[in-house]
Amino acid sequence: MDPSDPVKPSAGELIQGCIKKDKRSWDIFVERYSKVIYWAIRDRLKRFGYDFEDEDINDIHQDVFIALWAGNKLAQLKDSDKVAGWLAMIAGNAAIDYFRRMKRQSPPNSISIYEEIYKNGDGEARTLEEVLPSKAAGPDKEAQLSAAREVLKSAIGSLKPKERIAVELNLLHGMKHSEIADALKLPVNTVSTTIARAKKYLKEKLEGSRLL
Amino acid sequence: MTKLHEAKAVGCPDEAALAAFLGGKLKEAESRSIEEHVAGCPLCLENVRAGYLGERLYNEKDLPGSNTEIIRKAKGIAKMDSRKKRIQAGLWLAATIAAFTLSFIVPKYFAQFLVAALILGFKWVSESESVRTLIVAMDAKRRHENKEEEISKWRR
Repeated sequence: MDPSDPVKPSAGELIQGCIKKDKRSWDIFVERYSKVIYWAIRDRLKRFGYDFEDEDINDIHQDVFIALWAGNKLAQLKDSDKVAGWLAMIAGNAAIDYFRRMKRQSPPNSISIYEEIYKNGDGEARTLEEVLPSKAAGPDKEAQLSAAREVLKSAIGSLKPKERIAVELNLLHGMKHSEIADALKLPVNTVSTTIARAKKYLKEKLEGSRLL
Repeated sequence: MTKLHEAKAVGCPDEAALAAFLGGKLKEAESRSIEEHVAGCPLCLENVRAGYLGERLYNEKDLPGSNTEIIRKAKGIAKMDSRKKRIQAGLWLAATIAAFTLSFIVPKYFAQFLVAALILGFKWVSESESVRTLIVAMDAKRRHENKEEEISKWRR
């Protein structure tokens, strides 16, 4: 039972009920988790820049619940305390599969962190394109941008895994330091220091390449 | 640059492993191995973000509403599933009865039809939820009676 409400079944009890094909548990499960699934589908489609309608979200929402009931996907869950997060990941991946299957659209070729290095910086929000010398134009500018991206790519690749995750979650995914600390189970100060140090290092690498 | 649709390759941890990673429920070595993978895999990083935010927004009850129509449709999956099973079980039962009846109507193939009836009947029993429940209930009753017998033996 849910300790906060003795009448409400806990997530673990609901999941066990659904695995055993208990329809009452299923009804409560759908009511309880429909919102997070709906949110995750819309979030993924928006972030990946897909052109979608409400009808697409409704279809993916139904696909997710079919996989959970008929495909017995709930039996794969290891930690019932994190069921909402797990469902958000399942729903996000189902959205990608749906667009690949029904609309023949793959996820975007890349999500670039590189233009974001100078955003969220010390007050100055500039894209990589803006910080490159303004004299260059056309193919020259494209070549410079491409070279700068390569430098940053290799610099990011040389960060330690935890540093890289923290930097990418912050710059690419817009997550706050406190959220990253919570997600990675680290003190906020450690995350802030890590991100500041990594950003400084990336800037130095970029400036050392004489591209700026 | 890393291509996302190529990034989801063999070796990506599944959603359950990523959820356990976020929950801090993994052993250090497992956690480190997932961390190394996530650092170089944009799609898994995207999942980490979705998993973290989904859990948080759910716990804070800060999610926009979904709609009653899609909730109704999702609930209907279980009903459709059991209706389909009932129809399937009904078909097995009808085929069993037909094979059993035919064994008397066509005496030449009595044994063959009887065997077919037995096989179809077995299929009906295994597919039918109510019959399965009945068997489980009868088994439980039998075990309960045996237990009572044993207890009374001990008392004697």
